[in-house]
Amino acid sequence: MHLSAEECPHCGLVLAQLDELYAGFDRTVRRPHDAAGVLRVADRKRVTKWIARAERAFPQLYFCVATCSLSDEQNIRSYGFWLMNRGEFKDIPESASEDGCVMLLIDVNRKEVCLHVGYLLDAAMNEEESFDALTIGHPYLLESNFMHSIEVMLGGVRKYVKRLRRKARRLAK
Amino acid sequence: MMNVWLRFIVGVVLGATSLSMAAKLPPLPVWNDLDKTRIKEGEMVVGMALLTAAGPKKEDDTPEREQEVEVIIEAVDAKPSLDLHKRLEENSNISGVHLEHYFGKKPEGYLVDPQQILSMQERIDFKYALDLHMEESELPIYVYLFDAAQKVPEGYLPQKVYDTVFKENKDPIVIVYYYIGAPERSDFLLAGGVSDRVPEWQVKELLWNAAHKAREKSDVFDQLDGFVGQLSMRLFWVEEILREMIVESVTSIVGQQSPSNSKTDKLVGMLDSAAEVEVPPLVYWVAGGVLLVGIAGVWFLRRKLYFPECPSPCRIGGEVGAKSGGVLSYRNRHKPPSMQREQLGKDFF
Repeated sequence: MHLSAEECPHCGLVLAQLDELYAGFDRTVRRPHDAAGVLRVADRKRVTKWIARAERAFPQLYFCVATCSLSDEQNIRSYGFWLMNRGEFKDIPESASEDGCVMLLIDVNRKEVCLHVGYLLDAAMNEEESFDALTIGHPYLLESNFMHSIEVMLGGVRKYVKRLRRKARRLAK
Repeated sequence: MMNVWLRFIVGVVLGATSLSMAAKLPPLPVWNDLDKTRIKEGEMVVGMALLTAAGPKKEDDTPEREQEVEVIIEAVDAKPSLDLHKRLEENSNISGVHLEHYFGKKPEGYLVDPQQILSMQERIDFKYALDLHMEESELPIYVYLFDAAQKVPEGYLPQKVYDTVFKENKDPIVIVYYYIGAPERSDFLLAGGVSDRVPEWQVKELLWNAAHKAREKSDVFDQLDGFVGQLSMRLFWVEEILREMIVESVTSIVGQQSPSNSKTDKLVGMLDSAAEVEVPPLVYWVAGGVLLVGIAGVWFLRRKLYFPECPSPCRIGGEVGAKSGGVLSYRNRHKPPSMQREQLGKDFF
């Protein structure tokens, strides 16, 4: 997507179109946000604990794990962008910055996974590196073992966020 | 002819001798006339009074015999009881002959129970237990048994008994006054050798533990058995202390007597001093290092990581974000992440 552009110069996409595309989706985002309903209660508690630990280590950030079930017309990237900007995230730490979101999004229908970050991490983020951070969960996703895949992918995400921090500090200098 | 004369002379001499001897003997008894008449008439037979039970009795025989049998009973001083093991009252003072039985001499065995408070079987069992202790220990236990409320005079407390009865003893011993059914009243003395250097608190703790162990049982003999059993176990540590003290005293004596100018002694002294001086700081350094590493590890794991402020322009009107990473697909089992990575970089819109 194009920086500093109100609409995409190639296709003319604006956020309002995404509002229309995802009009039926819940904007209230709990953490974890299990819209696809693939996590059990115990799994949600484990993810909640992991999120709490990660947020203690990164006070400016807030983490989210979301599952969804998108149709063929919808797209995991555009949905993540829409959810992050239009969603109402619950229980965000006071110390967290508004643009410090880190969201792991799983589409159980189209069978795709993607990592989204806010503007705080934008400058340092690299598409390939974020892809690599998720590949460790691929075997478990093939078996639809979502909880295990989330656990291992969150481990990779945490390492990647640390790397992003180092990169961002270098860029800031 | 000679024989005739010789016989004559002997006859004359013997006749003269018998005459002279007869003149010295008392006169023979003589029958009176009344007896002679009765013998002649057959009313009396000679020797009948001696040879038959129906001999004639004299009228005055009975009073004479009664006078001979008469016994005069006179009051005499009370003698001590011959019953050596007579048991005293439960709440009495140990006194009199019992003091002698208890403390008169050094006991032959390790159990002193002159009152025989224990039954025979209990005594055998208890002696066996004390013998077992002696097989494993060099510290004999002399157990003096008293009843629950009996009192021992102050002059016969364990220390004084040790001073009097065991004064020739040089090795450490243990004297216990055990009151059957009241183990908390027990009195304890560890004396002899270097035992006076054993801390008093340790001795008190030992006695307290033994009494506490005894109170766990309800039967009095079981209490005694438990008391001595616990005492025996705890005395093991006392023995260890005594051995250490003996070694220390011997070492100090040898150190004072032997000159310390030999090379071997110097080397040993250097090693000892090195061990005394160098080892504790090394331990402190290692402990300090481990502590520092631990603190650093905790700090590293719990440290808070902050991102620098890197202003980024908005994307198509979004206020929060954001940039998305590469999409990992798991739809096709035969399309691994390595193959998917090659297709990254394409815009998703």
